[in-house]
Amino acid sequence: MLKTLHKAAWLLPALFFSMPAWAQEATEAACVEGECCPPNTSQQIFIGVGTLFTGIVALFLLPRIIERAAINKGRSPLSARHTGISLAILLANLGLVGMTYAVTNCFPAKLLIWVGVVGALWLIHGVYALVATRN
Amino acid sequence: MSQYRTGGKLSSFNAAEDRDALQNYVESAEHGRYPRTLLIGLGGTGAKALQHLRRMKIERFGTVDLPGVAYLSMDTDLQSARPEATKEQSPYEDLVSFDETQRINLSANLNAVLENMARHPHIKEWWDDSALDSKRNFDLGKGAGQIRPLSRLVFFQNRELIQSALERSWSDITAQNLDDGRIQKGKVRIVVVAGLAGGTGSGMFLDLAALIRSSFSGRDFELDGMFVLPGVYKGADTKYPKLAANGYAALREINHYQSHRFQAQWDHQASADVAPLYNRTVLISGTNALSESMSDPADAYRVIGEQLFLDFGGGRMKSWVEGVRVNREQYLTSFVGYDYVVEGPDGKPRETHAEQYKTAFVSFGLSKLVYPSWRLLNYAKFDLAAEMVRLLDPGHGGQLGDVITSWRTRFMVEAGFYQGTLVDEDGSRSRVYQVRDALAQQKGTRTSASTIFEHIQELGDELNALSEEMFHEKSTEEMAKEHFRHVRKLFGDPYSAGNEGDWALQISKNRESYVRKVREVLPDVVENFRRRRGVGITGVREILTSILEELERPWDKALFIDWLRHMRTEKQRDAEEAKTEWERLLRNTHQASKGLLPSGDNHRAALEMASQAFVRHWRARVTEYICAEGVDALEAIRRVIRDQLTRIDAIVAHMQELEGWYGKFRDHFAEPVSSTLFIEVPMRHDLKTLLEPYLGTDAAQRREALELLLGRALRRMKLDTLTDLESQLSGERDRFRDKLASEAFFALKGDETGRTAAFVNEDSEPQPGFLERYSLLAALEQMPYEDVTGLLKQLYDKGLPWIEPTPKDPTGGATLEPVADAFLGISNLEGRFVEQLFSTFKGLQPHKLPFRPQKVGTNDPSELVFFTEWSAFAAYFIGEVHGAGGLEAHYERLLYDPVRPSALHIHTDFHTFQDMVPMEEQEVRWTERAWKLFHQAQMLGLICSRRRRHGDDERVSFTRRRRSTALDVAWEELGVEATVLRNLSSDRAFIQALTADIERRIQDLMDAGGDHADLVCLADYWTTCVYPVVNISEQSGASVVKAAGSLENLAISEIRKEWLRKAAAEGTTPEQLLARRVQRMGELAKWTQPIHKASGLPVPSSPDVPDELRVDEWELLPTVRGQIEHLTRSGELRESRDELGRLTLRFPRLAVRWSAFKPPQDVPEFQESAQSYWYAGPQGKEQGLSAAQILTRVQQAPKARHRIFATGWPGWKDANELETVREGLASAPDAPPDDGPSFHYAVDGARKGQLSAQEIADLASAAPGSAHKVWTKNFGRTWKTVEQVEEITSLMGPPPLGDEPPPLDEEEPPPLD
Repeated sequence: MLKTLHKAAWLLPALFFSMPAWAQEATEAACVEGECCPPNTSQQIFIGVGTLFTGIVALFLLPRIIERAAINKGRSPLSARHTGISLAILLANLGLVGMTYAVTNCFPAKLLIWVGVVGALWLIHGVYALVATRN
Repeated sequence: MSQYRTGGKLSSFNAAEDRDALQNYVESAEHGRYPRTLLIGLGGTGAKALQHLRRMKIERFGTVDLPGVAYLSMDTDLQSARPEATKEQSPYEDLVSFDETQRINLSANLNAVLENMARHPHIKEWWDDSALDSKRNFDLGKGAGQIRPLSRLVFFQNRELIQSALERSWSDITAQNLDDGRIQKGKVRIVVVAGLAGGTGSGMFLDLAALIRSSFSGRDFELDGMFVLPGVYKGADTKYPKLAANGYAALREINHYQSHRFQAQWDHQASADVAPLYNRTVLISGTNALSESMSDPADAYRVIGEQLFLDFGGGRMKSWVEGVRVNREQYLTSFVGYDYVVEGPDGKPRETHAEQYKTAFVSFGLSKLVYPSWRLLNYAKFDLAAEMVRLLDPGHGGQLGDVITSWRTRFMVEAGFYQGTLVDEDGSRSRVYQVRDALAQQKGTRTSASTIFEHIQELGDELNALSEEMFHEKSTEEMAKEHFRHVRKLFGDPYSAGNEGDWALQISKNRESYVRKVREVLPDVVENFRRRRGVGITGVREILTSILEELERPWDKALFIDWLRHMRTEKQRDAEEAKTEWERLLRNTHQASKGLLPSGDNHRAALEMASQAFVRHWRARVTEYICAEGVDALEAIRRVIRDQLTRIDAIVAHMQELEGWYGKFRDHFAEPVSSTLFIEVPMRHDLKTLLEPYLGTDAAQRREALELLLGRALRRMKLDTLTDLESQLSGERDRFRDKLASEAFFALKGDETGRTAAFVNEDSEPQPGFLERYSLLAALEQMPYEDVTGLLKQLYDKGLPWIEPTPKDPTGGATLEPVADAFLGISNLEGRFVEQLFSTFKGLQPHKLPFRPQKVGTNDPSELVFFTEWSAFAAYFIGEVHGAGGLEAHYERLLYDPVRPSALHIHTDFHTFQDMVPMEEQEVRWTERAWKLFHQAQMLGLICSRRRRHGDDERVSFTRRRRSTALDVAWEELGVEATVLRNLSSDRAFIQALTADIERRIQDLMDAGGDHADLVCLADYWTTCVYPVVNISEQSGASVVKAAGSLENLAISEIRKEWLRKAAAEGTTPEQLLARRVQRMGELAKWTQPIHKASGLPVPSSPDVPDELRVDEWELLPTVRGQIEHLTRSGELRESRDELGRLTLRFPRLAVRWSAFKPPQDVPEFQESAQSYWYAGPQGKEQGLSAAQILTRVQQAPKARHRIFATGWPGWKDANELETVREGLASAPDAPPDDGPSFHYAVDGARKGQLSAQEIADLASAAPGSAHKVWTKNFGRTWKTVEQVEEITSLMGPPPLGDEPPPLDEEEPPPLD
């Protein structure tokens, strides 16, 4: 658990920085050839930051755009907005998978965990949206 | 020596001086001006003559109204207000007719007066009971029935009405501005036109003149009378004898009042005492100076109308005619009088003057030779006026389909109520909603929005502006709903009174002001379109009709009423939908502000969406209400259009009527005038082409000329708009008609130069006017001269004065020659042809007539006018009066008809009027002898006076005391003084009998101790007191005073002279006679007595003449006055009082008092005898008749009932019981039975079948208490009582007599019942 947190901790800068060389070296060193190497720290940072960036951007754009479209069509803006949020979470998740693959050329096992985390988040929002747009 | 002599200015007439005076008058006259004139038409003749004058004015001036001229027509015949009472009246005749202010229809409640005559003493004083006889239910509405006294009675009853009409007319003419170039300063001229033959005119003309004189007393005027004599109707009226008799009576009266004062008491307060009545008395007879007859009475009206018209014409002709009128007036007071010489009290001869026959009469003649230019001008005038009316309405009868298509939409746009697609001039299309936009206007609010729709938009924007606040405060719904509520408040509930919001109120207000505005603007739009070429009034009418149809079209065809209704439903639906949308979008907006990651932008966008729904909703709501109000507005506009349409319809109808009128007016002038006095030369022009010289023949050219004329005419009339036209046509339609015709008239006639510029532009040369184009001289020059000579002969012969002079001068050569004037009016005084015409005309003068024409300039080239006047002749100068068929013969026959005398005069004392015709020398002698016998008989008690009618103490008739046998005396009724004198002039047997009686009575007097000296004393009294000679001033010159006596005075003077001679023969010296006079005058009351038959009866008497007026002083006059007063005090003579009730002295006629003398022994003094009978027959009751007289009366009316009574008889008997009567009747030849007409007869309700009038009369007389009724088909459905049927009453005689004998008092009549 501490380890996971630790990894998560180094993943955070990845959201903000591109993967530095030293990080890439460290990862490569830990990976066994022929296996799907988990991203090294720098890669993790890169993947995390990238995912986060994607998620944030999508979260800021999609709900509004979809809400505006709904408003223009005379439909419920709240539903549309939550739809946007949902799509933004999904998009972030997709971004995580995509970037991980791009970095690792494979899908490390740990990715599933992160995908699950985001998926859970999506589910939680989904439940919340259902409740919030119920009326 | 007695003879006729002349007096006054005419006797010293100098033709040369007179001509100079006339010339000077003409030179100084104001040409073209006329005096202020009041024209009064009395009766049918007056009305017709004035109507002809009005016709002339229309023909010559284009209008009947002239400033300073007023008309007044009065008649009992209601029909005479209009020229053609029996035919359907043309509009032209309507124009000639008098209007309400100019006409007095005289009516009277005759029965109210006649049945209560005692309450009308001022009428009773002159009323003749025989005037109406049994015709109490007389229908006055058809005229006075040629009954002159009836006409006078009507005048009395209408006097106030007439007086107020006179005052009104006077005000009308004197209110005119004297600065008007045509009105002459000076006296007002009043002309009375009347016929003397009928009832109304001849019965009123004297009272009317007196009323005018007394009403306008102190005002500056002259009064002329123009009177038509009966001869005019000789060939035209079957009742000529009555007309002739009326005419003579009227003439006699007007002649009498030329030298006597006219006195009338119209009611308790109004009276007149005037002289003279008329300044000029103009007479028109049926025969003229050349014995030419007037073939048609209409010619008399025409000649009077033409003569009056001369006053209003321009040129010198008018001045000459007026000059004659003014200059000849001085001769109208000249006279022919009867002069005689009598011996005065001093024994010296005195020249005394009896009746005067004033040369107060005038007659004239007027004929014309005319080219019918005026008729053609009037024909063309109305033709032109009709064309102008057609031009005023060019759409009328044209192709209006294009007009409507072209102008309908533009009309609605200009009027402001168009809704639909509008195609601009450049071909672009646009939708226009003028009604909606007008109703959506918003004014006076705090917003900048000019319409409610803009305001809604503003409110939508305001809602958007709240977005941020809503977003932050998460109060979108609350705030938006609040905003919605605010707007809802602005709108309110427009269909709930009192709950309307500002917008609803604004829309309603807009609707009202909008409709008002359309109403205001519509006339201008109508006017605007009317003026467009090819539209006109009818075009506008068609446009409006089409608009009305357009407003009714369904919603899918036009955007008007039905569309607005349809739109209303749609907008209601829209509003609902928009509201739902609004609510939904508002919810969305609210959501946009809530939840995770809300966006302000999106919220604003959502709010904008909602606000659009908000705006849509309110627009729909407002539009729905606007549609509802729009329907009302269009309904109101439709009403406004209908009003306009009605108004235009009225105008169109007026125009069409006007056109029709003008057509009829025009047709009136299509026919030539039929008259022998006004001769039309044959016409050379076609009526249809008369306007071509002015309008041209080409349609466009005609149109242009007409537009020019019409435009100028309407501007002059200040009729710029249809509204002006409408107000003229509706309020003053006739005025407009006349004005337009007048414009046409003057356009054709031209100006004073005879040229007209009405049809050409200002810079073009004027054209010759109508009269210049169609002149008489030009027409005459084209004719063969023999024909022209024939026409001139007719002109001369028919233009002479309409009086035929009497061939016989009763005055033995003393009659004054009237002044003769003659003028030939001709427009062009120069030129060879004119000289030739004039020379021919002068050559036509017959030697026996003094009418030598003078050439006078006129302004009228269409006619030659021949005017003649005979001034200053006496009434007896008129030939029509004399001869077997003359007026006098008819008068005598009807007035003295023994069976049914006619009431011809306006006064029952007609016999006191001066004779109209002077007596010839032989007649004078006969009359003088008659007077002498009459005087002597009265003085000797042979003729006594008695009451003429019951209850009248003023009037007397005379009765003769006659010795029927050696011992008996009978009383014989002689009638009024005039009748006695007539009989004493002509009845030889009567003269002989009376002469014998007089001689016998004188002998009786001598036998009784009297002598001729006594008779001389009595004659002195009669000469000096009863028939005094007085000094009078001649009217012709106030400084000339002469002694006015009478034939009566002459007769009594002759008697006195004869008795003086006999007294001298008896040995009485002058000294003795003088002493005897003093003695006998001092005891006059003892030896003389009034000539009445019994004490208390009226006696003829004469007023005491003041000493200063007496020609001779008589020292015994105070003594005589004392004796008369003594007679009065003794009760033998009635008191006499003046108007104020003061005692006055009148000298009664006195006779010898036989009781003062010793009667002769052998003659019983006037013992009443059984041979004197009371008599009651068809002519009334008489007393003292002899059997022979009764026989005469029975022979005169053999079918009537004659009853007699004598003293000692038990009751009345039939006259046939007298042997004398029986024998007399037996010796008479058998007359054919004549029982008169037959009637159905019923007595006391039971029908007795058809009986003759005589049989019914007998039955009715036998049973006076029963109800006798008769019927014939002429009575219609009414049975009449026998008293109402003249044919029966004339056979009935007097009311039945009772059995009671009469009282012994011979004065009182025997009791009748």
